[in-house]
Amino acid sequence: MSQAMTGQQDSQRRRRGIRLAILFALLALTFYGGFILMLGLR
Amino acid sequence: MSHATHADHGHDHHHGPATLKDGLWPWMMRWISTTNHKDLGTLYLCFAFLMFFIGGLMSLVIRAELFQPGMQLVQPEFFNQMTTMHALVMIFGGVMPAFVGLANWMVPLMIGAGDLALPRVNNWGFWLLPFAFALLLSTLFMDGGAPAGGWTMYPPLVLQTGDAFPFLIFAVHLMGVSSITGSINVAVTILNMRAPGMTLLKMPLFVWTWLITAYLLIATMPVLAGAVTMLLTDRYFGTSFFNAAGGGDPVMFQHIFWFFGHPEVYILILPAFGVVSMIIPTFARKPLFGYSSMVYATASIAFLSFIVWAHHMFTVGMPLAGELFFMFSTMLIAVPTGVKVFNWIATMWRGSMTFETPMLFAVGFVILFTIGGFSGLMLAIAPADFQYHDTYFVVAHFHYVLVPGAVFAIIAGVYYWVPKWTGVMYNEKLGQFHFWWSAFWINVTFFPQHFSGLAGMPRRIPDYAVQFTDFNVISSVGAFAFFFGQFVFIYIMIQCMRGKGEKATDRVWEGAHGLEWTVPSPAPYHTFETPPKVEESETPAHA
Repeated sequence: MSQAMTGQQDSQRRRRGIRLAILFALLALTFYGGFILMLGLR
Repeated sequence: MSHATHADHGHDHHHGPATLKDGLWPWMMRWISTTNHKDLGTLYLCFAFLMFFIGGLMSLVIRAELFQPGMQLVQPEFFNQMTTMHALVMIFGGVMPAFVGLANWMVPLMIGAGDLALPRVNNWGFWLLPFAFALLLSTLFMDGGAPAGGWTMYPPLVLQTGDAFPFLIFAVHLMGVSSITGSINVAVTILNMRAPGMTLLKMPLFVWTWLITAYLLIATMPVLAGAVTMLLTDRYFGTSFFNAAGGGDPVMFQHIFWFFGHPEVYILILPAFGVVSMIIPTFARKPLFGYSSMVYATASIAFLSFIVWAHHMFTVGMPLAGELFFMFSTMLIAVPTGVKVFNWIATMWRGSMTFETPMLFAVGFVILFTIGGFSGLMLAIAPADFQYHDTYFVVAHFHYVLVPGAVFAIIAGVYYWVPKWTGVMYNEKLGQFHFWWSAFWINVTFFPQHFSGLAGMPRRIPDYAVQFTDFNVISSVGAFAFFFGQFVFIYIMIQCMRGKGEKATDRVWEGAHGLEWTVPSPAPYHTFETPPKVEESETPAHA
């Protein structure tokens, strides 16, 4: 019934996962720095 | 870990994780270095339980002091430390890690993934927590004691904290990093690791609520981190972010804090909604009523949570337009929340209901959380809030949404899934006793606080006027009885962990549907290494 992923599919999925994680981390850093910058420049 | 791929079926210790029989050191290293989502789920849950215990003891100090008017047991400074630390420990050490623990265990099983997307980050995220709380709790033994300015850390009061101040800030940073890594992990897992056929609108509600919670965490925890960083630089590096004398604005801190703080409230309750949405259909033996409306309601609540923050600050002196905007936007939250409550009731309507312990806690949640929701609506009314603000009415409100709300949902989830984790059924009779004991005493504890609050008793004060005595006596008796009742829960869980009890089937509950129930009980150390085929009957809308 179930089917194992090929090596290529697996590495594609890994890369996509890491890209997504980096994107989220950058988003978090933006919120962190953004608020400090916003108040610092006020 | 790949060497353990085929170790699942039947052979106990051939390739599996180290147990105590393999020696103390291998066993310890297994838990320290584990990247397995089930191990980390267990660690999170055990850590949360320890924190609930410590935070609970702090609440008993508070309730013991408030048993009578006048000062009898502790110094006022220590009382303030207890209220502050109780909140920090319960929120960041208890409820949040408990839900991350449930997510660690169940999200991969529910979507047919082998593990979380970033297992090593998962290990790091957990092991930051013991250090964060060691820092925070160590302040109790310092000169000047622990932080005592309230968990909201408002300046300028919080800047009077003694040596504990940098420890508080660094602990909050560590908790933030842990939450952010955890939520990135959950979000990436859900977006990237679902088994083929598990489309977004076929995901169980617990997975949906956690995906939305993860977004909230990623967006708001950095805001808290930014706010406390600015407190740190104000205190030690001569900045004036929140210092009026230097051109800063202390009220700005309150805005930033609550821009984090209000979504945080939903971070604590959305996963609870998810747990309850899994349990009620199982024990009503009906599919969840209005599945897609549940998803949209959750997303609406998350969106609204970002535009209501200043309802915590009605008395701070805002322009009338601000008061009105935050009053109406807050009231708007009642709409999607109402959708959820009605959907849970409609799910139960004409179902073949049975009341095992998880269902009792879930139904208790629906009723008692709704009481907290109604008092929330009262607090949302800006002119009325001028009377309620900083009184015990607020304390009653948020304890109703957090204890018989979030905590009951955690307990319900643990009873619901513990047979899958340990392979044995918990003691049903004791479980039901645990529910009735907890449900009774939690109301004894918190219901009178509505009255003392409306009559004007302020919160975070160790002494009070004599006319509030009766309500406080009742409240204190309830708190002690509730606390000691939880030892029954510990006993039940230890019995399960020791494998004492009736053997659980794979499906465990007659009405349960979902991929998590297709794996054996206890769930093998490695599951879904090959993505499963998602049967239509295992998806929530068609269960």
